[in-house]
Amino acid sequence: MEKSMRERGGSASEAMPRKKRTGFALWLHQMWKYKYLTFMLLPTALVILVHSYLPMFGVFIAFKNINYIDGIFGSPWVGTSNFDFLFSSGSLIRITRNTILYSLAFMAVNLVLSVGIAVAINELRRKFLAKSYQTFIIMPNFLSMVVVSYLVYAFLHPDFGFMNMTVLKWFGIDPVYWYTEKAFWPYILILVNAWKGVGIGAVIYIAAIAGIDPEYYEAAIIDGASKWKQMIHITLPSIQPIIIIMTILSMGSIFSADFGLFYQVPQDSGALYPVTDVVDTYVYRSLMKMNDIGMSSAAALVQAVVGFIMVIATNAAVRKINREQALF
Amino acid sequence: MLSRTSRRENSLTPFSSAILNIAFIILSLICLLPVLLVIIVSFTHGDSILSNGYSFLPSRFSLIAYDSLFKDYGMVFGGYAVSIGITVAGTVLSVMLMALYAYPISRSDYPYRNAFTFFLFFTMLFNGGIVSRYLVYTQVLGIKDSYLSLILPLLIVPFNVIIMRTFFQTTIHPALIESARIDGAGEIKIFVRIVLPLSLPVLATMALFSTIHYWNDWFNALLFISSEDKYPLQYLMMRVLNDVQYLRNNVELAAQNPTLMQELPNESLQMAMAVVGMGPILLVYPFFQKYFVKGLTVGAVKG
Amino acid sequence: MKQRKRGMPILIALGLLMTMLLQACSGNSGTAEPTQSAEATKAPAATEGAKEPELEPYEVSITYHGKPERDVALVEEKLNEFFREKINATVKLNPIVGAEYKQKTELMMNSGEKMDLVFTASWLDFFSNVTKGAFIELDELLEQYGAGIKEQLNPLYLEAPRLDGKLYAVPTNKEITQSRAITMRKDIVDKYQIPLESIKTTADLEPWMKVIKESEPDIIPNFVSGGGGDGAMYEQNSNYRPVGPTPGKLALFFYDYTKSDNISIISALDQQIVDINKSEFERARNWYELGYTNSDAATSSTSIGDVRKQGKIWYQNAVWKPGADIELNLSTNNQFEFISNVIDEPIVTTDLTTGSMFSISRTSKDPARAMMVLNYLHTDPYVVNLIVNGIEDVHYKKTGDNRIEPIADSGYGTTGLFWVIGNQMINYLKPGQPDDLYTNWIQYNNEAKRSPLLGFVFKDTNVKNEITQLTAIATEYKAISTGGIANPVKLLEERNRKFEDAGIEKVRAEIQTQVDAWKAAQK
Repeated sequence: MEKSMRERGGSASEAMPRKKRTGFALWLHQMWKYKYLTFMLLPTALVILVHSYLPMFGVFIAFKNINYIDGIFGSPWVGTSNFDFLFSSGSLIRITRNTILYSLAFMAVNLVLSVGIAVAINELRRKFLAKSYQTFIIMPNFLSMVVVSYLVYAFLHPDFGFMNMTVLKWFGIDPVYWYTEKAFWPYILILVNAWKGVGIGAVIYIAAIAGIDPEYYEAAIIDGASKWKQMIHITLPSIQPIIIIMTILSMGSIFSADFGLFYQVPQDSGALYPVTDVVDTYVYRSLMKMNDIGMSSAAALVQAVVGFIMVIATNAAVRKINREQALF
Repeated sequence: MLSRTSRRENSLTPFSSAILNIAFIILSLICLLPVLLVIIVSFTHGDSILSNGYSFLPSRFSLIAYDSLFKDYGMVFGGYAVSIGITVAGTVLSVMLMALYAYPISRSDYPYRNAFTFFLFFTMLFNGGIVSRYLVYTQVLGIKDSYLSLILPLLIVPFNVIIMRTFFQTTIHPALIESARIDGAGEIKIFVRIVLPLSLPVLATMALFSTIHYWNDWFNALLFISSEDKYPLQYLMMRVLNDVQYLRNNVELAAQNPTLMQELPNESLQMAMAVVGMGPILLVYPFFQKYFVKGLTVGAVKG
Repeated sequence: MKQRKRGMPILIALGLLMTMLLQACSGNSGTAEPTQSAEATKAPAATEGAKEPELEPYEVSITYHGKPERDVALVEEKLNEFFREKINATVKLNPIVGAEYKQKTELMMNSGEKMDLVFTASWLDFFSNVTKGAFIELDELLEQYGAGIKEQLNPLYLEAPRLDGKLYAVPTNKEITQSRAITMRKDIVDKYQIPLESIKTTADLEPWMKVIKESEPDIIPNFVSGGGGDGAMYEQNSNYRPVGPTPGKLALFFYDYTKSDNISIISALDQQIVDINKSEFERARNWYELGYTNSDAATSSTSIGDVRKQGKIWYQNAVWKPGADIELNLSTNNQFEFISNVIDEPIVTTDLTTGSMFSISRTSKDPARAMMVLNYLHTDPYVVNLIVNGIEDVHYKKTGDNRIEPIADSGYGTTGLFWVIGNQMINYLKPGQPDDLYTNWIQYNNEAKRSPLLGFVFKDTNVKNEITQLTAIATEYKAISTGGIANPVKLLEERNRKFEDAGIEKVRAEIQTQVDAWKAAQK
């Protein structure tokens, strides 16, 4: 036993090329120095490995024509032909434009509103009220898109919808057939998305503000800084890293869209497609009867690659300005 | 104590405070009223919906939706039990594991932080898709039809880990860690004694997100669970909602068998399901909320 | 950059670990489970040759389209008692809710899970699943173990679920096809003396729309829901019928069902089809503008069943089979009575014939036993009624020789499995169903006319891209038939232009080629 161990140890050190030894030793040294930190993240890394990296072989489905007999591994490779449907589609420009513009609009609107709410809620004197408002504004997040689509429908129904029956009547405007009038939908979708997401988005910023050291404010008060100045010079700079990271991360999903929002909320109305059709709904519509996981994987891969490029680019830009705040 | 008094001197003028409050009341109403509408519709008689649409003051009320929902009360309560169990276990595990990963990659002196950040970030965008995940879960891990298959998928949310990392970076000053190390504290001790207490707001945020995430998840149950008694509540509810949509979208199937449509739940039942599904989660929110009050944690550590 | 480099070794190490795990995993599905895959492929061969007279115990799983009910386990137990005695088998009932059925079963097929009997249908992409090798050939198994099935089924049934001449599924025995009908509420017909017999097309309803609109304020004269579709416009106005099953059930390609030789395929761009579309869409728009149609026609998802129950419709374009009117009466809890004028002759198409079937999965370890079970599902009233209606005196009471009364809230029997399982003709009759229902069906089936394309299946391999695009365009414009959208004719032209760009002609030519080849092979 002892002998074999010695042998193994010996051979290992012999196998190590001499000139690389310093680099390796340095590496070992670092490993050892930070062993506790590494040890801390290993369980999680293992979970990520098993849950996310193990199934990663599925990415290859995008390049295969899957049949059940050969399975995922044995099915024939078909090059990039699964991608053709996406790129040869006559709607490519439309869905690309819609997807990216909506993603950007959602990012901007939700960011401004969430940060605004977080900052404002923090200024409220009565904590009880602040807590109640917080509770109310996160509520929409708990409704599923199906239910949200019913609610929107209740608002916009041509006959007994709240908009036509009450609001427009007040102003003496003729009823609008909302589900066939595409001009309104960009606003409706942005509104619905904000309504559902802003409250929960604000929670992160509220927590970020809660983490700011009160000493900064105390010092500012002594210097006689106004509320406004405190906000500009203390609150916003303190949560800036979070804002930047959130923005970088949401760049990753720039080419993906919330399927429920774009499919269920407009009631899948064809007349609205010019402004509601996004990558996810288009893929669903064209592939729903095709039963082809190769083609749907191809679409997902394109979304991921675009997101990846966007994140890397944004991250590089941030890195140029401030290394510390970049993602990596 | 000091901070509290100085805050008071520093508060808004009554006028701007009133404006702010009014703005928040309007905002709250915008968020609250639709939810209230859902609750009212769940108590509305089906005929009233068909002839007048949704209304805050329906012409006919009815308890029939809840009646038929709780007719199978065994199933509903079973679903609650599963959901609560999964949510609690999942949230605790998830926050723990995510914090353990987020902290090392937040340390600017940790040499592998970029590698591990990238390792994590990559999974945010690229994944193998449902089929390969299903294969791994059922054939490699062998956790089909087990509660683990409901917990594992949501355990690590890369987005949240990165947010957490950023929080650690911004709220915990490196000097604090350095001084603790000079005092002779090991990495684990620093993490448990200094980092975690300072990060209660972000831990609470992540716990809240995890709770919501686990509570609302029905898709994994669809994929992996096959015994009725292991279904979480949201899945039981979503199954009915989806089935309604499905039958409505498959007009032909329905036309061939008109009697199939007879038993279809109407909208009041669907709303009742939404209410039953979201009720408990709203109750837990105030519990997390106490960690969001500004200054609490920092003050506490100092005091 | 420096930092990235230092991190590299660990990334590489993890990468190596990953590939190792991956290999283990691929090995797992490839070799570590030889028992499953090898047996699955060997099993059919084994049954062909020497067959053991003594049957080993085996569990036959039955995966079907239906909502799981509370007492499934009880029913399963009863079935097991029966099957254990007959063929030393047990069954595993695996009902899956309709909304999830397709996704879940395809996931199971993709991952090669063990299944035996699997419910399938043209609208569940049966043919594309056959192409991918999900199911095994059944000709020989049917010959050996399915004598009862062949006895019961109308022979036309077994012509359709075939690919390249080989049988891959056994259809459920029920009405083999459906006709189109204009169905009206009897009280309204009587009240206004509407000559239902003479109303052959939707356009014929025009004068009565006005009457209903003026004198029946509670009724929506023309209720449109489901976001559009083709309705019965081709059946009412021409001899053209959509070629089915094509992906998406697109009514984009047509053939004349009265011509059995030289079948020519025309597309939606053909002038005859365009003319029908134009006049129908214009009429629908006109009705909408006159206020006959519900204002949310373009998007409404209100089910016609709800509206019917409320007494808000007086007519509908319905599908018809013997007993259909009574089914409609029942769906309103007999508040209203319906009568129909059948407007086309029933033709047996591949699409309709394959609307409800069972196949045997490639992953079945004992396909022979699965076929034996299927044979019982087609022939034994006890077995079928057990699955469809539940256990006697627990879930239903017998009120006659062939008649039952369901027990309310019993925990089984409410999901309507009659059209899913085996043979509907041996289902017990429920209250309201006429005694001669099944004899009428048999007669109807026997009289139905065979479509010249019965048994033809279109393979989309060569035109996949074109079809995905056509599907997307067709769904985009589907609501133009409802009347709820302005300028339908302009939109129709726009749609047809897009179809042209998307290569509709290429697909049409491909279908034509395949039809010709198929026809030639028939002789």
